[in-house]
Amino acid sequence: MDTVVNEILDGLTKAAELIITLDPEVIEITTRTLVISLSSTLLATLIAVPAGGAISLSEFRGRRALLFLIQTLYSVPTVIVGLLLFLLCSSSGPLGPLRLLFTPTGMVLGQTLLILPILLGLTVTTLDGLDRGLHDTLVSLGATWSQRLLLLLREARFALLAAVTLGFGRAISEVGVAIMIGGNIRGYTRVLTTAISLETSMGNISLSLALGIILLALALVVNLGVNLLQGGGRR
Amino acid sequence: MIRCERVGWEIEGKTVLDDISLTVGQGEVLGLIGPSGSGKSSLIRIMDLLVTPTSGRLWIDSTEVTAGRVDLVGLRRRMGIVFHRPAVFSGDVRRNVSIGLGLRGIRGDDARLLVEETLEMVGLAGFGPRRASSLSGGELQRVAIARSLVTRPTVLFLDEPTANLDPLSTRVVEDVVRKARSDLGTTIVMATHDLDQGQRLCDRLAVMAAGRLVQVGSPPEIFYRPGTSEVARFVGAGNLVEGTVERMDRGVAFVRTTGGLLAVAVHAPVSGTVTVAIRPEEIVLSRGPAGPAGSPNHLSCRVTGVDTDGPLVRVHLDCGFPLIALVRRLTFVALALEPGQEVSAAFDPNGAHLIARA
Repeated sequence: MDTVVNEILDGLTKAAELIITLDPEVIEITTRTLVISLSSTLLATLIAVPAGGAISLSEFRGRRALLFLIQTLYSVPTVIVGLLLFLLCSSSGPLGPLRLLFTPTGMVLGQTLLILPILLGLTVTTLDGLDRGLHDTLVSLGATWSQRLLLLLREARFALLAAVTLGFGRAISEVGVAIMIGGNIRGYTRVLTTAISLETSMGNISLSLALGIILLALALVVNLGVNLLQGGGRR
Repeated sequence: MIRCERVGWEIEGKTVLDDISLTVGQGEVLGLIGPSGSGKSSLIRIMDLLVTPTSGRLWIDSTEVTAGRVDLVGLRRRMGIVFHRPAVFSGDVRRNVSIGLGLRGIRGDDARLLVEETLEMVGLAGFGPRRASSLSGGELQRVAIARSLVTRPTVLFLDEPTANLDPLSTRVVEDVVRKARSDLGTTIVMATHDLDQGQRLCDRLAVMAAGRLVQVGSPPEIFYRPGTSEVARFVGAGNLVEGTVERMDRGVAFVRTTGGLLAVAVHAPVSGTVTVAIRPEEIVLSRGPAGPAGSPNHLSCRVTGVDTDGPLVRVHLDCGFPLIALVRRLTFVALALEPGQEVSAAFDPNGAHLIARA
């Protein structure tokens, strides 16, 4: 018990030391983690928000089945996405010529696929949950389809921001895609989660804890930022 | 202006509107009245092109909307609608009011001027910078009206605009509707279950029941000459007495009922089984005898119950058939009415209306 407590305390001390001294490797891993996760979140948002808007504003056969499928994909295991993408990107796979395997670009693609269903589903749910009167008012005022979509997205912006944060949280915390597609190559594809995994397997528990604390701190900062934005917008 | 020809609307096999034929003239204020679920809102949504009827034809001016490829957005931009629960967009009142202008590409000073003008018209001058979500229900409804009027629509649809408002806010909204008509010449179609409001604001009333249009006419026609027992009941002519026409004499039908002979002024000869509709406020009560034996419209009754109706008193009577009389409180006190008491009831032949049995 004491050992565990000591390791946690060591981890905290180490984390503080690594952050205060701006340890170059930690900074590099952290920066890469942020760049990859933010890129995949941005890419998924750019796809999911318009697509979700289109689904929300449309009535078609199979809409409910599609939503059910999207919601099922919320909880798809990251290793399944990693495996699928590994097969697609391997030299004999259809995406092989793109040479995405063991690259940050491949990791961005993998994380995008991972969080796309979450953002898509939550966009549809958020827009569907808006006051029906807003839809009707816009239609009656003579809004075109695209005008309606833009104005409704604006009304739903705070809920959408929360969905994007959730997506970012899933992207930054996943290991499966990062390991299988990124390969945890030092100085190239190593991110916080894969580094934690590696250091733990090597017995460097306090370094793992330090990296974990940095990961948590990042999530905290992003959430705080989102909360501030939401609070400011609602005032 | 707007013409519905045998319009029907079905959702999942359920008939919401059936065989509606109706015309709304330029500059007219038409009221759709009827109980909840009668199809008033659905008809308004069809006329405002929010939903497409499943049968029949619909014209907006000379454009047949139901004919196929029609510029719905363009047509909608000539109309406006206010729902009974106003939608509130984020931001201030100015943004809420100017949304329709933005959709039409009207921005800057032109938009600002129109918004200010319209806010003044609805009695909300100076409200522009206020946060819309902080307004009261009555103010929000006026913002919704301003949002519709700012684009200067030729037709304004109002779907129970005062359903959730207090009497004071209701009056204010009604004044705005009057102004829209007088200042802007807007054609107005309003759904309401407030009969008095229908009388106050509308040139014509269309009564709806169970998805059908049962009577269209001026407010006095609807209130004093209801076409069916259903309409009579809805417009408050609560005394419906079954009888048979015994004879006609100089524009008066004499109807034999279980409580005696009733005389009712009619415009055309009638015969057979009829329903006599008598408005409760047309009945006069007295303590004396009920006139010469057998004289029509003089009924000997017994008071069966008493309750209040605002400033009036509702007296329930048994006259051989149930009858309700509305009397002023002073009259009620003077007559010292109480259950079990004998009383005479009378009404003028012009104060009742005959409804022929279908």
